Amino acid sequence: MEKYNLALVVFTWLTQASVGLIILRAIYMRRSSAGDDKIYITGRYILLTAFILLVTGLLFSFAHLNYPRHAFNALNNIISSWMSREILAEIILLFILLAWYIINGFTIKKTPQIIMEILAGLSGVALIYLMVRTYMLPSLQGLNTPAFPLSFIITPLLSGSAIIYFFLRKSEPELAIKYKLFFAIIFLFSLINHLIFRAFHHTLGVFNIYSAFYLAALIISVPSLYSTLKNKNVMSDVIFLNLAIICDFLNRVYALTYTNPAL
Amino acid sequence: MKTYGFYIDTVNCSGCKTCQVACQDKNDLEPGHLWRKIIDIEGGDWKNDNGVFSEYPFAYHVSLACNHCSDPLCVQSCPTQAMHVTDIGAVDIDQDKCIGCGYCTWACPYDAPKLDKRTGRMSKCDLCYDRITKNENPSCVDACPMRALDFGDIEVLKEKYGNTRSIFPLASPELTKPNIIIRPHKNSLKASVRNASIANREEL
Ligand code: SF4
Ligand code: SF4
Repeated sequence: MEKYNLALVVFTWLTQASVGLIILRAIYMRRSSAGDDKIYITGRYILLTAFILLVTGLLFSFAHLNYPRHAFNALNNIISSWMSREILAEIILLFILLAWYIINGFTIKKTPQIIMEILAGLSGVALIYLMVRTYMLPSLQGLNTPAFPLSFIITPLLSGSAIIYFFLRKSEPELAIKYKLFFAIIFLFSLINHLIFRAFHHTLGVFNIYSAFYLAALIISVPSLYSTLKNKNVMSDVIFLNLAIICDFLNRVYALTYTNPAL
Repeated sequence: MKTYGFYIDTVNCSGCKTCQVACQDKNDLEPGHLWRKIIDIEGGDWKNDNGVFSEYPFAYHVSLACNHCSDPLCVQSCPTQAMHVTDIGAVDIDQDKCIGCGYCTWACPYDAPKLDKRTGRMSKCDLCYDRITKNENPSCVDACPMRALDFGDIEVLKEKYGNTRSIFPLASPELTKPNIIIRPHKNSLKASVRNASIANREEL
């Protein structure tokens, strides 16, 4: 990797998975036809997962600092640095999720839940916007294309719907299927997104590890979707989702690595 | 306050890298850790004149350090305010604040800030503060055997050498307003159409 290191890719990816989960959870809470208790428990697990993803992401962001002892200085330049703003938003979201999880443990009343849901959703979206701004620097020509912000919208929706699908697969198969179909559509967008990146920056040649994974995911998606629609859970299910997730992760690696050679 | 800048003569530069080594020596940099670097450009094509092919190969070199820009994106982007403008107008890094995140390198179109693996923090050209406050040139400028580098008040350099601020493969000067004046190599003007590329990427 030329300019970026893997820790940073993982950081952006996990953080976005967390935000996607929060947003898609809101849909689950409204669309599920399971009993209130069941919805509450599943919702709480999803919330916990989002929190864990966010914390893990933050830990990875520390790993990319070469001098983490000064880490708190990163908030020094809110006035002009997009990175400072991004980190502030990340910390705010972390505290909102923590508070939400605690409140959620004490009360199942609707109003506080909805307030926290809106707060978390808004700061999640703000965080993604700030992440986009952090990387869309005028000096990084390769990232200064619409494909880049698009990839920061695709990842949350893709990983969010995959995780919720796995939560619902056994208990609420009908709703799970809708999440999976949504996932498949977003995966197509991920593929298109990757092709756009590739069209402008073909330093690696046509066939490489990136195309191999996308091709494999595309092929396996056929039996997987077929079996889902027929309401059977087969192995290709898991393989497709995992492969597609790996593809999207690789797409991020590609965007942050090969679209911007030094100078 | 005057604004300091470098003059870079890409016509006379032979790509010998003496400036690069002088900088490493003066600042005690490890091998591969370059505050000043030489970008080697190579390119060329064929001309078809009624079935008679003639070749047009060319090469030139750009000696580049931090340009102590007037609109430094690195300063604006640095999350810790470690990257700052000093009292003499140079752009420098406060080692007590830097976290080594590398964001300045992404923000800088010239890839000037480099990680010092020994300290885990960024470092880059400081204009040889100790030398210029004694009215001496930065080490690189005095070391050049071709006299291809010059240093001083950017307004004076502008009068002496013109006002070209970019050359292939450097970014548009609009981005950061770099304080460099360039004497462009004649082949640089058509460099992009003649398949020019950076020949020594692995060194930079
Ligand atoms: S050349 Fe790069 S590091 Fe130097 S001042 Fe300009 S933007 Fe900052
Ligand atoms: S590496 Fe240091 S100087 Fe560069 S942006 Fe990060 S904190 Fe600022």
